[in-house]
Amino acid sequence: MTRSLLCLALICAASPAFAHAHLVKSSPAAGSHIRSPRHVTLTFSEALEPAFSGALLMDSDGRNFSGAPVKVDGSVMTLTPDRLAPGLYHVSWHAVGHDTHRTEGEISFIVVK
Amino acid sequence: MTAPLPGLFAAIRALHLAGLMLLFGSAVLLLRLRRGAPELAIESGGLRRARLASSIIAVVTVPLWLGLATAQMAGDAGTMIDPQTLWLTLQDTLFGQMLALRFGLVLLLAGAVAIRTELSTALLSGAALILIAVTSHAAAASPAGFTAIGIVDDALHLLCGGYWIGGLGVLAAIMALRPEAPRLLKALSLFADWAMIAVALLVLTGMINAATIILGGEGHAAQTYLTVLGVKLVLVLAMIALALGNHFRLMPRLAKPQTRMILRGNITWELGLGLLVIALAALLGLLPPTL
Repeated sequence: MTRSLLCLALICAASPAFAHAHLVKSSPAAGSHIRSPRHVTLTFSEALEPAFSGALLMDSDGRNFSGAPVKVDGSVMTLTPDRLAPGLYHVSWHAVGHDTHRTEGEISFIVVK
Repeated sequence: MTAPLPGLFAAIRALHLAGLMLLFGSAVLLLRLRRGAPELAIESGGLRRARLASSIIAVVTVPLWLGLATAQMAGDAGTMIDPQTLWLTLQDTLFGQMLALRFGLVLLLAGAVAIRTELSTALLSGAALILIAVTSHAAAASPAGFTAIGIVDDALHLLCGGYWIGGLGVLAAIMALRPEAPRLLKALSLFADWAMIAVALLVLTGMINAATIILGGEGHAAQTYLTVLGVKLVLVLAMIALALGNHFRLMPRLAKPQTRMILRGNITWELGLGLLVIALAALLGLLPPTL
């Protein structure tokens, strides 16, 4: 009886899922060495709110190379940068899911000749 | 926690949820009592005041929720009162669109409560709770293509919880105003019949929610989250223990005045614990479960 009650309590008290939007994968991958990419895509764990989600592509001096406005479609965020010179680049992103929770993060990659 | 003014945000969410759940559950039980034991379909005294207050709270908390959620999404507390950003939320986000709909519903709900139309109160408060589920964590965290399941799951969770809390509110009123009523047992049974189904559905939807958390989680569990969850678990356990005691120990001995006194106290405690559970659930909704 006690065990049943405890199980019942644990199950009843289970809160709604709290998995906020997190980055599942990116292309280029974090830490990769690649030629200048046509697109930078960030795939998240859940659908995003385009109005409050976005990203910036910057070089190590903080210059913005994001190019065209960031496109957010479902759970995928796409940047279309201009041609990138060899060097280190950072993508700073912020993502908001339909549950209104905001997450932020950064990935880096290196462009080679 | 990324939410601005997290204490205030949690309080707003808790008040809104508690208000809607109280109205939904009390309206459903009052409708059932009108058919099964009409003399006990009492909507006066403390219950009347609580329901009127709940309907007003449900309205007032919507714009506050809009401001706080907007600031959370924008990552900037200043946007809480920025008309352009608030409009952006209402126009361009699923949350904002659902909130605008919910605002319309709770305005109608306030009118329904004022003129005592229980069917409208039940339908409007139930619809408002379902709209909350559309942008819930459960819906957002559901695997691609399963969002509808997450919404249904969370909506059932809220409706079942609402029946439990709101029904207790009605029982507390009956115990306060008509503790010697000849058909008190009938009223308690009417509540308990559906409460058992509600608890069963709470178990089912809770299991689905738990599975979503486990499958969707990354990193290690956050200590604050675990602590709040632990307190919540203890409170729920206490609620279930009280409910089982009321049903199996006290209800068969209801003829004794002393039993009725104990039952009245237990219902008050169960209701109070339920409101605390809602408050903790509202807080958990703002805490990151993993780091």
